[in-house]
Amino acid sequence: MRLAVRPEGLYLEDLDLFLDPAAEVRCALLSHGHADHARALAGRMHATPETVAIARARLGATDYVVHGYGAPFELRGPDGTAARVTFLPSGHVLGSALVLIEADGHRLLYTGDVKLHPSLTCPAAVVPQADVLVTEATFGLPVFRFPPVSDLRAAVVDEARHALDGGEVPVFLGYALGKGPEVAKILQSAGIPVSAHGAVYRMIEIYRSFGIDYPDVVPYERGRVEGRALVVPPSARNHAMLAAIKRKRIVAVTGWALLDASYDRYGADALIPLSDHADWDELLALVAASGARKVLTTHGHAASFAHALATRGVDARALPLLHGDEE
Amino acid sequence: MKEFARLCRELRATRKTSQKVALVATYLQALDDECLPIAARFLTGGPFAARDERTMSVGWATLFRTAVAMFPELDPETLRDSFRAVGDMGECFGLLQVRRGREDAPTLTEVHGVFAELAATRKSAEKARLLDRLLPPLDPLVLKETVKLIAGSQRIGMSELLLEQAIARASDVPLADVKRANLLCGDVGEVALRARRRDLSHAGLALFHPLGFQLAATYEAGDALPWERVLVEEKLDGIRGQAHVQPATERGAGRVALYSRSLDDITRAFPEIVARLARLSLPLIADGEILAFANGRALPFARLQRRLGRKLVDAALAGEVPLVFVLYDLLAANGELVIDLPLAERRRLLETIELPDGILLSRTARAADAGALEELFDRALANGNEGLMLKDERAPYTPGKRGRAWLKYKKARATLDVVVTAVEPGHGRRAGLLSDVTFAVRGPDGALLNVGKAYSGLTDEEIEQTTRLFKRLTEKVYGGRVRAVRPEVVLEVAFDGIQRSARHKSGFALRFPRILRLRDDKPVAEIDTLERVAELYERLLGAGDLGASGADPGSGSADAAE
Repeated sequence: MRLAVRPEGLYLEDLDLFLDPAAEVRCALLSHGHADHARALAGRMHATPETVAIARARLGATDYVVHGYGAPFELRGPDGTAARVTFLPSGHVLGSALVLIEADGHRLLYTGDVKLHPSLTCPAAVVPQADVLVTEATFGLPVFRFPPVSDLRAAVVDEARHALDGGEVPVFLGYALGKGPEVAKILQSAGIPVSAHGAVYRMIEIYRSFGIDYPDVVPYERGRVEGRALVVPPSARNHAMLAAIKRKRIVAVTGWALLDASYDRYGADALIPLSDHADWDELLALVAASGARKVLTTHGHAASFAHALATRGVDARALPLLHGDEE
Repeated sequence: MKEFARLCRELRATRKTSQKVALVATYLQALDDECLPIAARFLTGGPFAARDERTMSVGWATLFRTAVAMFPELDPETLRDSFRAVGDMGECFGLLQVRRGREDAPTLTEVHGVFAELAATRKSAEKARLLDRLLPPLDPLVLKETVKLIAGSQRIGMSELLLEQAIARASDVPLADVKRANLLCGDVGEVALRARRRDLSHAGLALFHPLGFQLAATYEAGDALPWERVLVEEKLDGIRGQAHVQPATERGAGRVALYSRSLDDITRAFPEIVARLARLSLPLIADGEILAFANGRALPFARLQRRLGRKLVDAALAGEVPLVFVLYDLLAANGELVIDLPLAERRRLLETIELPDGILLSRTARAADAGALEELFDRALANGNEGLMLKDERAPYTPGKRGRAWLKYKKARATLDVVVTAVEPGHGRRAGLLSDVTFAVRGPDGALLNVGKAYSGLTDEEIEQTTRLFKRLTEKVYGGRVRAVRPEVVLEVAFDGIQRSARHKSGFALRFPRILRLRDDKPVAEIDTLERVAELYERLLGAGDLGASGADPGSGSADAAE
């Protein structure tokens, strides 16, 4: 099975199949709904039900083919090459999948985005054995190691309670897909009511439709935030919406919160390094768990991580792919 | 050190300055007398007091080597990528140390002790050994802040003022007292301790801690006189220096130190000045200007500049350029600060001190109207100085402040560096001397083109000296009087304007040119060009006279009294 890097994205020639393509192609697999992966519609798109719902909202309609986690399906190339494809939970966000492609006894595992620590809004990652692993390396340096998730969830709740007690509106910055709904869920689990920015709220509606419970999350309404935590995307940090709230505490929830520069970058009063991505230790664990003989890296510190793997005796190199660094 | 590290973390997370001050004040209050000064200094981001000249001099490479030793499971390339990705040495060390290091942290005193050892050794192997012992056991937070102090990248957003506010609040003393004491003694650690002991008024009395220099604002030609009576000094083009003198007594040897405007110790660059200051009979701190001086005139600044940047000056170099130290202010005498006295009073005290040879007192004059000021200005130019200093006689000396008590009055004064092409004897007293000179600039094709003739400006001694020189350089004599000379003598000339002229081949003539000084430090190849003359002509056309023209030809005397 030959893997090529094309301008449109990663390409499996024998199957005429793209992985998370950047341009309109005939047929593609979509690992998850983030904008740096769900970049363009393909004529036919294979994805999990959750990702299809998200892609439909974000990209529009096309010929979606839905496959649940752990339910293998067959794809055939123009020359008749057949492959068995399985979506497995990647633990990243709602609907995110690891993609296992098996052909002629050869197994290729594509992570899309992955994390190994648990989440309240998506199932834990299931890492299968593979010969070749194509993995993201957003946090592929040893400086990126996150504290235990339980501590970080407690920090989210503490920040919210502390701000509310002090008469401030706790404002959490988190992406609409993934971090925002995750933070909302953490707050809900602690009984804290949440108002959500429109983009986050629309995503939470999709989360709800897949059975994730949010008893008291409402769309943000101006002047009606008292006693509630607010969840907004980082891009809304400087919007009039927040300027209208006089007393507030801005909390950035992101893996980048490990770095002091994030205070300025996010205009935040507090930083919580709760991430949707694998940290250094998890990336090493992922490589080990897959048993892969060959590792190809993309995203973030791809070159550094490939080098670090090579010094550990793994045949690894970085793929020449261009991606945004959206978390 | 652990509490200090926690404080730094909180300070970085706090944008409100009032909150930062409150955090620091609470922290300082809880420290004992031993830790308080160290913590206060650490909060300025450096290991030592501002007045302390020591530096740890631990570079990136040394820290990186320590990291390689500390994290053997990571290859150097991965470490380098990590430092690059994080962008801050301290943060990177802290992140790499996650889930490592010991619970217990060293005390501030212990950390400070290692910093002192780092500063005391110049051997990088020794520095590496100290770091290898200090850093590995630290927990991530303490490691981060320790490395930040070493690397000088603290970034906690504490300005000197915020720290002073915190000290004032911690000890409940007036902010003004803290600020003043800090200004005087240059050690925020000592100030914090004195604030706690209600002993701020005695801060800064110790000799050999440089005080900040009083800085000057600008007086523009045509401005109203700033005060009714203006004390006027000529603006000297030398090196500003602060002298600290402790004369020898039966009880002990004396000591003299000189500090530059940047508060660097420049004592060793000026041994002859130091030797003369040592002859003073009372302890004092004085402000003045080191000048290269010969034959009653100031020499070009460039001659003096050679001294700076040298740690040691031998007798040969000292003899090459004769120096004087011109005092113009007194900051302390007989163990007492006098900076709060009005200038008139300080000056009176200064004048009562018996000065050794080579230590001079600045000449002062008083101006009560603009006319008098202009007269003094012209005289200053004629004396080879670049302008005037105007001082308010009623004002105290405010260290480190650019207040309006001192004003510098400089007109943008264009000068030209020219070469002498012809000479002729002068008249009257100078009849036997070749005192009248014709001079040239360089044309576009390299030919020398005359732009004027000057009759005076040099001292008699200089004229005697150049007369001998011109006789040797003479190539041809016209009419028994005018000598064409080999173009080797470079002069700096000032002038009142530039005219178009048919007399000179250059097409220009300088109006009322005056010889400012011999530029024997400047090769003929570097004299000014016709292009520059034309440019000045254009500039001066619209400007009326030279004094009002806008551009500064550049004096190049960074350390001169401002």
